[in-house]
Amino acid sequence: MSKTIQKVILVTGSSKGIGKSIAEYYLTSSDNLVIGCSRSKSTINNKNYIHYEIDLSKSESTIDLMMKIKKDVNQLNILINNVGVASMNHLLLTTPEKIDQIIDVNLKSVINLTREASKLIKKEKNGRIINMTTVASPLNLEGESVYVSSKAAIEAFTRIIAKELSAFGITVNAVGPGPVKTDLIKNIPAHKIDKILSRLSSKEYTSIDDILNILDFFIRKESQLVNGQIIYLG
Amino acid sequence: MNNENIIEIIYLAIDDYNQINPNNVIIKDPETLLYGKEGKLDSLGLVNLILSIEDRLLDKYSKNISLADDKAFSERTSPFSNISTLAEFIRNKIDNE
Repeated sequence: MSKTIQKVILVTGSSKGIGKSIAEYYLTSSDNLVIGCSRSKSTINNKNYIHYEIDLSKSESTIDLMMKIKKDVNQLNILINNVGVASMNHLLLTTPEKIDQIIDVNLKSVINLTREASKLIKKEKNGRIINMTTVASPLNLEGESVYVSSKAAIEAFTRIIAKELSAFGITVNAVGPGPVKTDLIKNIPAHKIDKILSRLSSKEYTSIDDILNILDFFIRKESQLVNGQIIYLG
Repeated sequence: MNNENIIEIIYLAIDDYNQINPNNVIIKDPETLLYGKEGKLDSLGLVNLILSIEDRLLDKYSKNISLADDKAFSERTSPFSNISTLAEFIRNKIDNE
């Protein structure tokens, strides 16, 4: 690893959408090494980017991933738990397989990876863990019961481990975007999105820049006392 | 990996602990009480010690072992009560891998 690298940032679900944008944003600084992971290959081509193809829904995969990072880089400052899947459907139309997938990816993978990654992050000063939630959680949106439940659990997890990990100098926070124009919502009818937007304070789509702004806020060293917080956009 | 290796790993982890806790030094002796009544470690100290041991087992012996399972905390006699019981516990974990 280059001696100029100051921060190593792990972004999950980095092959597309918000995760890819986050990875590319932090690669604009040569001080950063960004590690990404997803089930598919990455199209990011940067000497300061390392990609692992991995299925995080399997708990053993999170251990494998962290062992590789430890062996290859042996440093981690920031974990951005971005990976997520969504299902916008009535509960009665959501299959048991889909329910398993949502809970495995959105909740279990985050818990397992956070557990493993914290062991490496705690060796650095000002460690950061940032989770992704959704504005659909406080809105209790109908048609998103399983997805929102998984994110509500992430919010509880965020608040609790913020307390548990503060002794190691690690802060844990979450950002909850409103609708973002990504694959996650591409199959949702426009009238449903409009209905969600109408319930927000600022009735607009969330942009990537809006999310990056919150990430920067959580990450900067002056935010050491910003801990266990959930910031919703919109 | 023999019993001496295990004790050596525990002692190195204790060195780490003693370095950051100079006012609560743990004596490196098999009978030293670690956790529980009259033990030197609080819950955070125990977490740090366990992580340090797990880290060293992985680095030096490529053993990826989780020491803090539910069984460990529910056993009548805690495996973390002293250095000797901890070494025996690690020995069993490695043997049952």
